[in-house]
Amino acid sequence: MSEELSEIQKLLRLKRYEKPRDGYFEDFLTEFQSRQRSELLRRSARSLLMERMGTYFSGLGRQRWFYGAGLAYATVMLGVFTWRSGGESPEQMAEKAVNESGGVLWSGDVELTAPVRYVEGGAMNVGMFGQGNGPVVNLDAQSPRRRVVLPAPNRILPVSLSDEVITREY
Amino acid sequence: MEGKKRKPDVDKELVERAKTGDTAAFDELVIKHSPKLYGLVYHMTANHDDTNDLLQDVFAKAYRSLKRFQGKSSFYTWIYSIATNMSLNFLKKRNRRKGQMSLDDLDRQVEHDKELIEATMKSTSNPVREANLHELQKRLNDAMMELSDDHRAVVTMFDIQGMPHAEISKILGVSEGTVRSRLFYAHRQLQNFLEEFRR
Repeated sequence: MSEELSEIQKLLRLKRYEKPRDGYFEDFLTEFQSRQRSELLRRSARSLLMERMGTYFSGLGRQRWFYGAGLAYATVMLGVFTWRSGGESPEQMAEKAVNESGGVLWSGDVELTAPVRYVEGGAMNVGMFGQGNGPVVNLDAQSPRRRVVLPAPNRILPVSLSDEVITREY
Repeated sequence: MEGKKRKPDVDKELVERAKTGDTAAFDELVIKHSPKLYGLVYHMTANHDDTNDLLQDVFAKAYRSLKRFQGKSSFYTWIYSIATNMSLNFLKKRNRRKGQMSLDDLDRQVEHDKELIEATMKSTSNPVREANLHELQKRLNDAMMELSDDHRAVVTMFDIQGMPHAEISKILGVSEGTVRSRLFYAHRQLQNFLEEFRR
């Protein structure tokens, strides 16, 4: 090893004596402890919930298997239900129902006792349908934005987002 | 080498207690390892404030990851790896601010350190050389900052902290040959930087 390198390495070894001010490491630990505490407090509600659930179930003994089985069953049923519905949103389901029905929402008799707003020819009208009148169907079918009266008693069924829903007015 | 016995990890008991949530055990690990880790991080970053923040992050990360520590290496090697990697990542992100090295603060400590004074007295042969020691140290610090982050890391671990090549290679995740070649190159760089001053 050359003398020059040896000198450099001696100087480098001296650097290990470099240290911060007295008391630095005590303050460092205090700061670290304070940081740990605040991190624990900031822990997300979700992680706390998971931890508490874990603690709760671990304390149940054998019963935890029954709870676990119940949760698994509920999860499976939810998955089956979602799968069977094809993952459709309520709006999609309603639109599908309308399309399948040929645009007629209600084919039964309507029993109305109060004025009902309906739209015909783009104008809002108020009329009355007597008891036993026929089905209320799409009005203003030419309009690109279909206006549909939903007379189904006590039932309001949104058809699709593009349809303006007119409900019974009491 | 096969059959070579591994030294038992002296921190094993503290680590096991800390894993169960014993924060006092982890505090003991912090007290034990922070001085050396401080030296590592400081000589890589050359900034006291950055060192303090980074060291806090190192121990925080070690605490969060403690459950994943399987004991394949010693705790010391493991946390040293964390500190080295975090320091290297930090240096990559920050622009090198050579002018902000806070060595003046540390240099005051160094001047009054009894062990250092004894060491320098032994290593110097004449008053002129002794007077130049401080200047030489300053030049050496500048030269260290001229090295790349990877080269400075090996110089810090080998020359300053006295770690063997094998341990450095485990910490950095490179072969011992790579450690030796990086050291060789770094030493040559330092010699070149200091050449002019030494004439």
